[in-house]
Amino acid sequence: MHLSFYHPLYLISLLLLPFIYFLIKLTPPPPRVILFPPINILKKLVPAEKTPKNSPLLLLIVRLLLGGAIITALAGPYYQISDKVIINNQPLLIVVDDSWSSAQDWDQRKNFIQNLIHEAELQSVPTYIYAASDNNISQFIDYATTRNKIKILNPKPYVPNYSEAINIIREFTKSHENCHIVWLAPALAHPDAGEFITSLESDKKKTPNISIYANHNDVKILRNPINQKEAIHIDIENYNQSLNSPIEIIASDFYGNTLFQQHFDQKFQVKDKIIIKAPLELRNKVSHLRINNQHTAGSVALLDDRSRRPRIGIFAQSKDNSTQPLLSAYYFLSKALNPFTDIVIPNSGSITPIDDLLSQNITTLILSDVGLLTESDEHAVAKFLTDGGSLIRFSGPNLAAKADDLLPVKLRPASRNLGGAISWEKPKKIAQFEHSSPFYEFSIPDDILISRQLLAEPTNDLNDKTWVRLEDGTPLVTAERRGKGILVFFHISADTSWSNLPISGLFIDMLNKLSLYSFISDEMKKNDVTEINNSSQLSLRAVKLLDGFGNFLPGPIDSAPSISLNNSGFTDSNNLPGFYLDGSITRAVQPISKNEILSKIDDIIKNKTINTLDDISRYDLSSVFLLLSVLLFLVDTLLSTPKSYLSINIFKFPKLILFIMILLAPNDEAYATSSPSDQLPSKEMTSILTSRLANVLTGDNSIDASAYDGLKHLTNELRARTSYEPGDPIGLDLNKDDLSLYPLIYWPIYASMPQPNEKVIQKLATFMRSGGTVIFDTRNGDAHSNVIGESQESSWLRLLLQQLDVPVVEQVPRDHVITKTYYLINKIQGSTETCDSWVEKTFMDVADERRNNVIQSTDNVSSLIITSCNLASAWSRFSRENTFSNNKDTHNLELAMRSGINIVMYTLTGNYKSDQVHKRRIIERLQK
Amino acid sequence: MAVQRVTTRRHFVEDYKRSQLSLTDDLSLYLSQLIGRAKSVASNIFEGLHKRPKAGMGDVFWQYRLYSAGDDPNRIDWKRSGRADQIYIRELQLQSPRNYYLWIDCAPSMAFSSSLAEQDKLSRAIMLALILAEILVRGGDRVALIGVMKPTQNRQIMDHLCYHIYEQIIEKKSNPPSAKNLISKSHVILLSDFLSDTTDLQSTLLTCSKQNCGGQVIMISDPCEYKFPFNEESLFVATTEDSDYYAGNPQSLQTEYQNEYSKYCQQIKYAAQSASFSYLYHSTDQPISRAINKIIDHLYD
Repeated sequence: MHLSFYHPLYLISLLLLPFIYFLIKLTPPPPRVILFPPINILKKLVPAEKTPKNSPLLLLIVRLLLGGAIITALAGPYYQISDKVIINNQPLLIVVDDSWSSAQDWDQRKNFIQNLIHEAELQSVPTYIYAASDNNISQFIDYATTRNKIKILNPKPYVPNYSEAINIIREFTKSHENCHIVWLAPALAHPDAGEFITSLESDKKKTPNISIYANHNDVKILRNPINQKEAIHIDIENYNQSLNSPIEIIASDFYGNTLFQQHFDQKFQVKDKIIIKAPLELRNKVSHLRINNQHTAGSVALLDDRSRRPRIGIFAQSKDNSTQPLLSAYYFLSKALNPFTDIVIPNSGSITPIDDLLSQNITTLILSDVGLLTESDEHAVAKFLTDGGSLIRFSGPNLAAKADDLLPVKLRPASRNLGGAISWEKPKKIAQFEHSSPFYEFSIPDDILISRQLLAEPTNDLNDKTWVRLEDGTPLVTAERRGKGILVFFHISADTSWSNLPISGLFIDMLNKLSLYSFISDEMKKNDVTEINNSSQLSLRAVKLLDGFGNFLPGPIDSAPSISLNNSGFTDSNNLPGFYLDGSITRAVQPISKNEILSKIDDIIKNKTINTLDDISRYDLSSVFLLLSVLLFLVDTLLSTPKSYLSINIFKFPKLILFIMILLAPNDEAYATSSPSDQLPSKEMTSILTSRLANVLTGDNSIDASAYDGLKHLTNELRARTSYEPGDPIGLDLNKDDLSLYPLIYWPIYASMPQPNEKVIQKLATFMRSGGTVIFDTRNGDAHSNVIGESQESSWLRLLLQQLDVPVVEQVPRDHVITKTYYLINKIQGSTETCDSWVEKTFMDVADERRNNVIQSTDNVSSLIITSCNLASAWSRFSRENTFSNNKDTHNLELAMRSGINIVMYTLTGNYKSDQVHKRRIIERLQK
Repeated sequence: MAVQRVTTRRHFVEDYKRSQLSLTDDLSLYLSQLIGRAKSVASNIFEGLHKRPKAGMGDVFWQYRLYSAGDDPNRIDWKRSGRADQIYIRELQLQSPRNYYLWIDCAPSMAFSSSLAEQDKLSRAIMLALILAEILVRGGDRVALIGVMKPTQNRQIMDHLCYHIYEQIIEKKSNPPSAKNLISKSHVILLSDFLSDTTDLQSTLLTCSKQNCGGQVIMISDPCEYKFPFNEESLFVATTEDSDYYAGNPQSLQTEYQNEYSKYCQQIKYAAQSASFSYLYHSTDQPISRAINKIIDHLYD
């Protein structure tokens, strides 16, 4: 390494420095002149110094150095580390490897070449440049054009094929004998690069003089990105084991925005794996991953549409979700789908579960045992289907009761029970899959038995729509195309109550196949649903291509060749890495092909020494000297000031100190305190803080008042007799109020009240589904008992209930738990005995004998109680004296009150009262 | 700034170097300004002036005194005695006008001031003289500028004095006066910085004491002369510009100088006191009124 100058002539002016020295020495700065009258007194002191003081020595040295620094800076010093490359008088051929593995230190290589050209120019040696991806070696014109060629040279995003290069170079050496070949080798190459050297050396009489230069730099590459369930798995190859620096992976989307970065500190082997965890939403958006601080195309991995993971929304409506989760439909579905997809479910208290799911960008929607959708939900789901999503529906008790239009087939009203106590037949097995079924590839386990299914009306196209049948030919799974999506319907439920398919492996296979459908159905809009294999005739054109540095080239690329859909060749000049598009199909060509083998250059070239590219760049030192001169100037000024100025006593200036302290004070951001959240309306606050009963405001004042009054009396009695002490009852406006705050809602049916709108229906449905209870009181118990046909209120109620997805109701059985929750009563009654009440039917599962007990266990509270007793008026007429009266009417009032208390207790305590513990005592008392 | 750079300047001396014509205009204007200021200071001081507590010839009543043997019976005041049983003599206040002689040194060194002082020494001396003259004349005494006028009780004493001072300044009269032909038992007040040769001063004092005149020696100096606040490498130049003194580090000379200076002051004090003159040291950064009060106190020693 040596120091030399661009303009050495300036250094002559250094000779002037001694003159400056003498100048400064001879002319010291004059002292201050002070007029002083009592000078005679001064003169009596020690006699004055006669000669003026010299300039202080330090100042002199500083000024000399200053002058020297300025002169040196002007002379343009530079500093060069390495020695020159030896150039004999042979013509020089510089073979530049321009693959992406040279891109990391591309500037260094360019500098090296420029210096080589500089040296060659000094020795007048003709210089030829050949980049490994070129087709020929151009003539030597002059050094300027050669330099230009280097300036515009850029690495390519693929690894060039050296076998072609060999021929070109051989041609060259034939015509230019005795040339010196300098090969700037890449850090990584194909194994055929080694043959390049050996073949060059072996075939000539005069072997050309070959020098190889390469750098042992830190090249890391990424390959094979796969988007798994929780993370993206990607291979990393880290060839320079000695430099094991931590790795940061940057994930970006298609438009170049950074989505996230992750840091990995561990030491990586030569070939290792990285797991990149991120939320599925983000991972689905990722279009490329790159390693930070690596500027090669090999450190970029591209992801296309094939890496996106489907997201599936499941809405399973049964109440078993919370009480017996391991038997619920949701459990089986999620178990089957979880490993391969991302599952979303709506929040448990949500009023709009379907909308929640659809808004989360799901590709498949599974509805389990959903009978009736609200109108808006139906529209939304239909739109979802036509836009390309797929819908999978499972049967269940609710669907058996009511069904809507979103089914591929028309259903018969009843379900078929197989193998139960009252049926003739045994549970059936599944028939072998037909060729046209998408499940053809799967095998059917022997032990799958279906015991209950919904039947379809036989139509002409039923056969075409059937994908799976039972042994007797009845369809088990039917499907239909709707718009761009498909609608699949399982005639069984998703839990084990109707069959044992959900616990079999076949279920997993079937569901995953179906989820894949939804995923590629987007692309295969022209093709038939059952064809999964892609046609390979589609041709995709390039939209974004990578360059050698790993950056995307800007702008549309019309001239790049297009690829076919099945493309799997190596990347080369006809197969550039990047993103290709046709319609809605996107494909990515990775910079490093799947089967490409790369190895370190050291391993490839065995017999020759590889020189390192020393850093032969020149460091310009003139700025250093200029900086030095500025500093010296400051020092000079400091030394020249009289000492009196330097001693400023800062403590005499409190204001100054304060100012400086304020300037230096740490500057934290002021955090605005968050404003306190808005107070809840006081009505809601009261309802939250104290539990209370509620009645629905019907709009008719007398009914509302009577209901309120009745509830008030009920509340008083509850407070008096039981441990439940509710607050005052409250009237609810269904449109505005939040129903979830109330355990029990009393609804006096008023036929002139308009039917509630869809939003209210949804609210009610959510309320009932999440455990609330509504008492629908048609209030015509007395009058009704003799009337045949329906009353107005009843028909109004029927209309209302048709819109709700309510289960089957039955009249309250004598042994229903509601008759035992607080008092032991015979029935729910109002002011007279002659009125009826209905509650939700508790199913007795045929297959389950446990449930054939006398005392029926309801796991959940019935979500609705329909009664015709005018409970509210009975309650309002109640007074304490009635408790022990003998009068029949007042006694009935007491019984009505007792019914009310029972209902409230039933609602609040749920299945507690059906606990088997007290069964014996209760039976004894019942039988008395 | 805690440390200030002390600058010095010449006042009258600089003006001298310019043309005489402009000098006269400036000088007379300046003197009339001085008169104005002196008058305002004097009017403040008049408040505290007391009458002289001596009995003697005059026409102002002073007190009644009991007659005792030996007093002149012509002096008995019968009106007063008639009112009582005893006999009273009416005494009158002594009203013998004294004569005061003022001398102001107009040497070039007096025209000097530094940045620590408000005025140059000469202006201060002139103001002191004018104020004293006004006070004394109001008190019934006679004042003169030594050597050029006879003591007078003229009410416009300030203007009168300035007329003569003006001439003296122009002539740069600096030598202490010869002090001959003084009215005996008069009072001589010398205002100067006494930085020039002291032998003349001694002879003046001797002459005064021979004529039985007492007085005061008032040494007016500039603050920088006794503080010596210089700390840069400096070349000290005399006001007469024929000598200089180079000091590389004046700060180191400070204590020594101050010792020498106080020795010098002591010398002058000694000289004054040996001629039974009182000595007063005044520097131009002190207020005038303080000096006036001190002078008045010593007027009757």
